[in-house]
Amino acid sequence: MKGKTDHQLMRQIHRKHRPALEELYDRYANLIYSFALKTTKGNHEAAKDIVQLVFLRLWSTHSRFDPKKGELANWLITITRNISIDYIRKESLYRRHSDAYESANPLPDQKAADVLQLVAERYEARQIRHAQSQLTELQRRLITRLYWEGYTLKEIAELEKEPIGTVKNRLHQALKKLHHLLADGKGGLKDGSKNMR
Amino acid sequence: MAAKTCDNLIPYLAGELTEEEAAQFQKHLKHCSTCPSELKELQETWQMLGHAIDERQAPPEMKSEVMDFVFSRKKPSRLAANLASFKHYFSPVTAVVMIVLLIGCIGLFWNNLQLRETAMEPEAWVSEAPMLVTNSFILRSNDPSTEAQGMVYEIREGNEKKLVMVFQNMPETKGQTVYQAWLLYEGNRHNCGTFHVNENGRAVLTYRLPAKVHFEDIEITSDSDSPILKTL
Repeated sequence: MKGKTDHQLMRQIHRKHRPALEELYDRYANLIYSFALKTTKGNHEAAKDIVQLVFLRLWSTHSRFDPKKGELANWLITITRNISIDYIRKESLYRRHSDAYESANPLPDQKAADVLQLVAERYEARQIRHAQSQLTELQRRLITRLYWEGYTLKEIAELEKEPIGTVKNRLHQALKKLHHLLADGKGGLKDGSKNMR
Repeated sequence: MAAKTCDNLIPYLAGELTEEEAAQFQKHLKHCSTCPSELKELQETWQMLGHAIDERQAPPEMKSEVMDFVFSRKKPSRLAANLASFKHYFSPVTAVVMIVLLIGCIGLFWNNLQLRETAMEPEAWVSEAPMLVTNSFILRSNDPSTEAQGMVYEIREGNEKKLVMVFQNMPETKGQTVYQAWLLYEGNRHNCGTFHVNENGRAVLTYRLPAKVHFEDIEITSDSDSPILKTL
């Protein structure tokens, strides 16, 4: 089982081979747990619940992971984020139609995931944080609210006391700027990361 | 129209569009000159955001908990199967009949509970009507050697009439034998209860008189028909 590729493991999981799920756990539990821990602001119990739900989803989903469309880690992060946001929204008694959310936010092998192959190279958390530090405080806050805290655009508009159109534009600009910062620094960051170690 | 659709770029990225809206936006992507490249960039960035985490070690005990959680989830499917077979055996009409019967049963059960509560309620025994002794009788034995005797009070309580009989110095009953009280009216004996006496030869018996009964005599018997006590 150890010598299997991620894709082979996922195929075996799809055929309900339990040792494959256990191996996948060994490979990615830390990533999923860490992600869940961040979305729940360090709540271990909630993070554990999310990890359970993620592996249950992996075991029961009919969606297939397609290696041509990106790394498994990205696919897992998308699933983990969907479940985390759903979880924290239920926990914080925010009501949003989760079915609508699921249907509009399908797993990345279903839709537009071809973009993920562009993220062939995994970014170091440090590199991303470095790029984020160059955004304005408002830009960082908007991204955090949308991506990590799972607020809807409408809710963010209410929190920021701004029209929803403004919030959309600001988020668009923030993400674009982040993209450029990462793209510009990509070549240098590789060396930079070596230097930092 | 195009501008309005381009406006859905961020909601699409954030997964906030309905299925229908998302399909419309995907259609729009095929024709729009700017949205596809914009979306590509945004999705790349979006994906990178998820990697901005400090990787922590999952607690070692979590693996068995997660696996238990995943693999013990088969139970609900068995429940679902049972539910399916239930649906198979019970047509809607049967189901309605069952539900009506069930509601009926619950109603009866509730009613029964209420009655029981009322019966158990100590206050239910406290009569609101004042009690009045309307008559009294002394019961004595024909045998002068015994001091056994009884006192009978006829009591009226509202529209009800009761007899309260108090006995003393009664010979102790042995084995299965009991004393029986009889009312004599319309030429017949009518049983109005049985009783034991305690070690001091004392006993009490109450009896609710049927309406419109005017008895002539009261007799107390034991194992033989000949009365031990009778109205004087």
